[in-house]
Amino acid sequence: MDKVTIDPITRLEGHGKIEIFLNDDGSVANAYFQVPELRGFERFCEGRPVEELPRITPRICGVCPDAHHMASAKACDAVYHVDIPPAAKKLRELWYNAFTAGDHCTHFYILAGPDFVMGPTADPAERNILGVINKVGLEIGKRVIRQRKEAHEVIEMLGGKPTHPVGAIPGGLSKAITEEERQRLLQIGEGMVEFGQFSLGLFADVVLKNEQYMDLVLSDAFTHRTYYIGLVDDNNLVNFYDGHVRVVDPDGKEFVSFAPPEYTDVIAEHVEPWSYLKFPFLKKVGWKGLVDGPDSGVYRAAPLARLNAAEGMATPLAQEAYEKMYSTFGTKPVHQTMAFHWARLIEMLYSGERVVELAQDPDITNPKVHQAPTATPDEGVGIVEAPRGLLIHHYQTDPNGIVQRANLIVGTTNNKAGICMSVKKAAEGVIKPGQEVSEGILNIVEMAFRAYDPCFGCATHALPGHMPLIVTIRNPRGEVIQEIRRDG
Amino acid sequence: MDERAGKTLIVGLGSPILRDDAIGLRVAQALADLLPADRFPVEEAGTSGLRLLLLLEGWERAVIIDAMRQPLDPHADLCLGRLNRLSPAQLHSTLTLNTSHEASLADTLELGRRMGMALPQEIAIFGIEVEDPFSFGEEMTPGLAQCVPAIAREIAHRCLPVGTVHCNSRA
Repeated sequence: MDKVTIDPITRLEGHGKIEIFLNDDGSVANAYFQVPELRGFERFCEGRPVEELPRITPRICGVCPDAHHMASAKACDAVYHVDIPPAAKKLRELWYNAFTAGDHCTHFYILAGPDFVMGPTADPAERNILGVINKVGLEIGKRVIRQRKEAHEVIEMLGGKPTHPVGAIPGGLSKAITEEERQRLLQIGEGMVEFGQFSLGLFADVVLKNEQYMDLVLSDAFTHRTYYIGLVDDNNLVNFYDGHVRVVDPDGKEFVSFAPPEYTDVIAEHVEPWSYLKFPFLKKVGWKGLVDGPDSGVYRAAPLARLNAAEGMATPLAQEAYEKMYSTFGTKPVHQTMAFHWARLIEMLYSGERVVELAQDPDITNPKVHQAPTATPDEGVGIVEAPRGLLIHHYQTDPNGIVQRANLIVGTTNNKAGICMSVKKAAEGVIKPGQEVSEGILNIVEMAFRAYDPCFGCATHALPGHMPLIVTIRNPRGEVIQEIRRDG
Repeated sequence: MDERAGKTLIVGLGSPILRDDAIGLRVAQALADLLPADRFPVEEAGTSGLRLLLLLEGWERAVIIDAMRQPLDPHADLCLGRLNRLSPAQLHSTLTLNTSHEASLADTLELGRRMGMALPQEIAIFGIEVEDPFSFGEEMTPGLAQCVPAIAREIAHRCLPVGTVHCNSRA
């Protein structure tokens, strides 16, 4: 097959691009998923005071500013060797969980839900949130908006601004909370728990009880046996804000467990000639291409990966839901990509429960939320679980705290290999010799990457979801035989 | 929400660290200099979807300004700094509004209305053609930066009531 190159014009238009190459008999030979990319952020950071980065990094994109803000603040804590006060740590974690609850809710109801509620091959004009509320009822829409609004309220209360927060600073937080605010946080958390339970119930009714959808969920076209990565606490339970990173192999056995500064010993980045976006992989296993299995260093991140990499959830209702998911599949890890949706809802419930737990902690109103950094700054790594996967910020500074080098591995990048593999496998599953590729078939291929909740906003400027997308189907000589475009 | 009643929210969309992507923010800042703040509050955001919907709730009217990488006419050449007033159907040409991780602005507005949210009676959306919204940097393309005052005045005159623009504007 000829070398595949990126069309720079298409890249700049901000479209996602799927290139599918067919064999002579019309079956799928290969498929590539490409997105436009922004480059040079690391260089942009160099020469700036490191304490500016928690304010700059949330401006990379508007999708997960809180994740960048938090990873950046944690990296700054590490650069200055400062232990933040316990109340600050609890408040940061509470804020971060409220953000995750809002984000996961949006993904399920706005992006993923329409595929299941309306059906994967439904008319695109109806396969959206409006179609969902027409079918399920207005109350759902109101509840989704409320969840998002209350997540914003928490972010504004603790982060100072609802969209691009500034509240986390090296050494802790810029302000403590009052008793009245604590009570409000508790109330919001309780609402999130209730909606998390409702959403899992809806998922059970709409997906688990639907034989056709379960066939899709369980189908080989949406299955990959890979390694999984996730942040866990001291008991190996899922934690979004802090802990160590755990990797399990395709059989679920612990492969490695490491502290954030050791990430460079474990993760390396592979470059492919057809993509500017790098492919992170497990160094000790090695890069064997876009293939799964124990001999391939490809790992996956984000909700399902986090649950697979952990031994359970730290809150009771989420743990119950966790056990139900694994007993339904009968295996751990679960390799079915569509289970990312289920795992995301379990995490949404966990986030709500964690907000409640933290809001009930009597120490959380302690006014001591900042420890002034006094050590000479040098180097630090901050890791959080962004909704879309492990997010790593790594800074090196001079003794004056001026950034000399910055390295970011962002959530979705961890899943770049998995997404490419899933797109190819889904294409192989639905594109058959002699059959025209329809809009419905395109959506099934798209579902393969939507499960990852991909957001290339940090590394690109084109955010999927209903991302503008071009699917090009080529014969073995590289000639275009069909093209489907969908603008966002 | 009462403090929002009767007022027009000016929303500049984009990222301040992605060169020309900042045009919406810069023009919104210029409009802040032109307009009385008590009636025309200005917000900056690099976001869309539900986050933007929540930002719009409660205001009487809204003006949204975003960058766009392609001219409205796909056969036309890009014209740096050209101002386009967009209909909801044309939003796919813009950057922030189109690069939504969430639902489109049209869908989210419709969702909000059906949910009974108090949304602006009128939303004017402007797209400004830019060259480089993909590189990190705080400086816009020089020719574009020069256009900012004129674009702000044009928006003020095209969609805001006569008499609302300061006579002693700096723009």
